[in-house]
Amino acid sequence: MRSAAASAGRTLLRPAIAGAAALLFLLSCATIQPGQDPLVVRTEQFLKISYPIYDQTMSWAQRNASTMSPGALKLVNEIRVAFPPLYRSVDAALQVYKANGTGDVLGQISALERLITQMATLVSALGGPDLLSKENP
Amino acid sequence: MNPLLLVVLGQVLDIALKAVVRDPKQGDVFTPIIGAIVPALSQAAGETAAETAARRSAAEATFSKWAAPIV
Repeated sequence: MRSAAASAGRTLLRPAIAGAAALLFLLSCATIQPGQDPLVVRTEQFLKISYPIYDQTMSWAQRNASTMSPGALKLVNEIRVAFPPLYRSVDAALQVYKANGTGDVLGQISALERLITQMATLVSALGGPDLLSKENP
Repeated sequence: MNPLLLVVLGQVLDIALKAVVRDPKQGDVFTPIIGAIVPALSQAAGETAAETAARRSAAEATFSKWAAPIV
């Protein structure tokens, strides 16, 4: 009985794993369309994925706030406040770059990237999930 | 890319993926086909104005959600 259930589980699991692998393969193969500015496309992709990471970090922090030290909670709240203006700065720099090819897009992205790395490191250090993992939904 | 061609490529990709999932031994035949189609289907392009507006709106909603301190 148990082996039949395990076999059924494996049968169901195999297409699911293959599907997930195919999806990861699809995403990793995404190239830039000819004629598109890679800096614009990649910055937009970065903006698209960064605020959900912020959301996940804050959701996780809220769920686990009661077990956090005052220092860790202070760090979470500093990140909570710092992220939105930094995100808007990247978006604004991107609009300037799109309009006239100038602006500090790379500098702004670097600053936001550092903050995201801090968020992921903090959550991981506090025993939370790996927010930057590909498997993380 | 021509939308009709996209549909045809999508159908071929679907058949190839299903074939490989059903019988991994057929991977030798179908993997090169999948490898050729996927990059053509997944080329990244810039956001449209509507997509940018939607992203900003969603981001701002997220920021509003976390406006209060976490205690």
